Amino acid sequence: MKVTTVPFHHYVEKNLNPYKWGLSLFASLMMAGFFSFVVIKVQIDSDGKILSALSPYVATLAESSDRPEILRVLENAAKASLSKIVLVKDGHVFGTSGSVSELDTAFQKPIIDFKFFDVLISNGQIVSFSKESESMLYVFTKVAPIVQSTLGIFISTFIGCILLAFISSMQMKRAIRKALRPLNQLHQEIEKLSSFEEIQSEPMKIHELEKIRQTLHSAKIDLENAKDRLAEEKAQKMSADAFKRLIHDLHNPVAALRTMVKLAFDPSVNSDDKTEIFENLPRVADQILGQVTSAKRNLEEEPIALRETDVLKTIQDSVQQMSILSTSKRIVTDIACDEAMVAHDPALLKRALVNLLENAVAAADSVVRVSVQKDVVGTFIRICDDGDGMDESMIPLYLQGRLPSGKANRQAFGLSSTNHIVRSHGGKLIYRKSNLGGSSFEIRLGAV
Amino acid sequence: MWKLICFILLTSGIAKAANAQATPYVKSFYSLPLTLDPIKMNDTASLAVSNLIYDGLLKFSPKLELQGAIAESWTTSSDGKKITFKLRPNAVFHDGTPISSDDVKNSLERAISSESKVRKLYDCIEGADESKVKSKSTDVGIETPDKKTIVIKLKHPFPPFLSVLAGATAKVLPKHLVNSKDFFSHPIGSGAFRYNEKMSAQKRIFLQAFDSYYSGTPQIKEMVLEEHTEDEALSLAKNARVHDLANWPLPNTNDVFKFGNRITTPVAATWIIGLNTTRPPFDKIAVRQALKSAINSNQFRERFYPDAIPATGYVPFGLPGSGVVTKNKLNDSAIAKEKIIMVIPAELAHASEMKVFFETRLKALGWKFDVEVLPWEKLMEGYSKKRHQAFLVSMNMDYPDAEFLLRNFESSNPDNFSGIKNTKLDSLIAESRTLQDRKKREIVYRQALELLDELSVTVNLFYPRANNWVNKCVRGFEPNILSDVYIDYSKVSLDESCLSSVVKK
Repeated sequence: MKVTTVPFHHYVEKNLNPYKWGLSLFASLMMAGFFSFVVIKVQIDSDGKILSALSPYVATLAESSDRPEILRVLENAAKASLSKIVLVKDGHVFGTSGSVSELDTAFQKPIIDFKFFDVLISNGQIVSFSKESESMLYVFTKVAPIVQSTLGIFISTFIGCILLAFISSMQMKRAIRKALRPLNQLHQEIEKLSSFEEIQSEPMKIHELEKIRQTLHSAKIDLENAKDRLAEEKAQKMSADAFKRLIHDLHNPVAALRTMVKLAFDPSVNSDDKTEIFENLPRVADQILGQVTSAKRNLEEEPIALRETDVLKTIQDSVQQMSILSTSKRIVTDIACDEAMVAHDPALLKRALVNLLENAVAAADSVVRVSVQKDVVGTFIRICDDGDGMDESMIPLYLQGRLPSGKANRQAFGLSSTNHIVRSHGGKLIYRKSNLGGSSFEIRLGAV
Repeated sequence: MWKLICFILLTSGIAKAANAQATPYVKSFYSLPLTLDPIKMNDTASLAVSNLIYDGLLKFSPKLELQGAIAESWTTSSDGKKITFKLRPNAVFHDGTPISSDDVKNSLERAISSESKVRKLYDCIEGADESKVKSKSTDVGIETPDKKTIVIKLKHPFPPFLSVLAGATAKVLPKHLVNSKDFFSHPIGSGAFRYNEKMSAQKRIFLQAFDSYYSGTPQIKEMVLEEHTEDEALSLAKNARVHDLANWPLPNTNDVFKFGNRITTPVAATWIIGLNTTRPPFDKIAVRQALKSAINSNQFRERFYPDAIPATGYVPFGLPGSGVVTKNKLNDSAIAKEKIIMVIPAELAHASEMKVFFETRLKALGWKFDVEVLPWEKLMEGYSKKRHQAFLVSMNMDYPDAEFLLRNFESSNPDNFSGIKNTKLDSLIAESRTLQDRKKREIVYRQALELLDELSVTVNLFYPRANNWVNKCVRGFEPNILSDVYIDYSKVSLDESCLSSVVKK
């Protein structure tokens, strides 16, 4: 399931939306309610005052049947109060500020549709009344204008609140963006931490975030130290393994030397054989000596730490170095990956690669090819040349340093040293016939 | 293209304007006005027409509030004896002459002159004594300090006087024309409508909207006043040929209301049977009381005007003095031996049924009682000359004060239809006029009305509830609770689009 992410300020805004509308609605309702309450209260008070002021006078006029004066009073009072006033006598309309057609007709007592304390609503009108002797005085005030005003207040309050909420929301978004800057900084630092980039860390103004940054910083240092320790331990382990292999490699030649010496002094062995043994004894001894000398040199150059870094960079450095030295022969690269993280000592591995490249350049007719492949098993570095190639049966002897180098007057420390370095990285050096026609040495690193 | 659009808009506007003037507003009356001289008016039709073509200083709102008409403002002195009016600067007569305080003064002087039938309404004006009026003395309490100011001085404070000035008889006429011979055959006023033409044969009067009316041109451009019998009026109304039956006393049950709008309101009027004390046998109080007891007003009301308010006295419901009856028991046994003839207007829809109603019931009680159905004009003629023994009329009030009704019974009032002469009643009426306090005045009214009830010069039938019928396309019609006379037609209009849709149907 795909999760859609939104920026934090949008997230906050989206989550605040219901409150924004709800709050505006609530405020508008409260305001409109308060307004209508006040208006109705004022109207009822006003109607009450009109009734108490008019009642005694109108009742006196009613006793005198002075309708013209009653009509004049009611008309003027109704005009001032924007209400309709009706005087009822003996159940009939005796005076009204409304139509004269109502006069002397039976008064229809208002049916109260709604009652709330002293508020009486009948047929869309607020009804107030008072009784004075034989007559009743009614004041009818239309609710519609009050409702219209209330609606106006509601709408204007709602618009005002919504505008205010939008402005607040915009300010909040700005504030969130500003507040998120340290978080973004922290995020960048964490990203750089994972990509092993150099971090330009600056102190933050927010206390909690600064604490996180400091913790992150110290964690990074601890991690690097741990990695160093791990690399060193790994290097030590690999050195120990290399020493074990040297002992293992020496075991056979030394055992062969012992057998040859034993046979040389065995009376049962014929003279011809003894002669051959005596002839080969110095060669075997030399090989053992060569192997021991090579091992001695190799053991002096053990990796200090094996850190997991991109081996491609080491390869490219080596190729670049050899390309400068070798002007007559072309070194081509075929690298099939962007990155190959391998725990290695870049200086030491570079030396091994340079050894192999020197050999390949020396043996090649025109081209040396360096190819790199990476898969789940590990990383494979192949150095091939288009020269004559090597005697495959002699390769183990070269790798063990038991044969002298062909290209210089020295023991074949190059291959032996390269082999040792590869092994000290937990890898393997394998010889194959190159498809270019010459030799192909493959360094297998990683999970070998 | 633009010119074409303008042309179409212009022509459609012209067409609309033409349409707007196309339909005259037709108002039906049971009688055309008997006179167009305000000071001689005593019938509703005349008063209604007076209110359309003339204006007074003041007018009544639909709820009887006093409003300025020709007068822009007025003030009353603290002693209540001096009223100063400021006239509107834009008030003009139909001939375009500005209305001045001289016109007002002249009109008021006409109202208190000997030829005036409504003189009694104005006798509170200082110097309005009959002797002075007769001697054409100029020493009358009406002053004109300038062209737009008029001051009226009263003998005593009389609060209802402002209502008198808002009434249909207190109209201002142009001084420079009113004395001309044929003025009232083609009168000039300052009301919302100008008098155009009278077609006597067709019993029609044509009025036109007065464009320079002070409160704006009326929306009705042409008004036609037509005289009909009630049956004719109802039939024409149903066929939308008459737009207004406000002058007709229609019960709410009349099926004409299915064809138009019923706009109902109480009015300050009382239906009575007037008893003429100058004619035997009503010169005897016992007979009057007996007849009053014999007539069942409620039965009459329920039969003919069921939505009317039961009569509880002489003064209509809703006015000070209403509901007052005598505390003494009326004599109910003095049945007259003489024949009694009561007249009722022929224009009433159920006149013949009413005749049967009264005759049957009263004859059954032993009265020699006949009902004569007379045309309104004849009935009013007999009424003025006090020829009728008894008559059925509606007493419409010119202003909403019991004083208006009570003054009809003053001994000195030539319009005293009952002919009653009672000094106590006279003194109570006179006393009421001197009281500025409404409550105190009401107490005196009550005393006078109790006495009047005991004198039994009227049989109080009911207080009518006006059921004004107007066509469904009439807009802005607002009844007046004083009377249909005072309906403000300057605000009434005919919805032409509504009318055309009715015609299509």
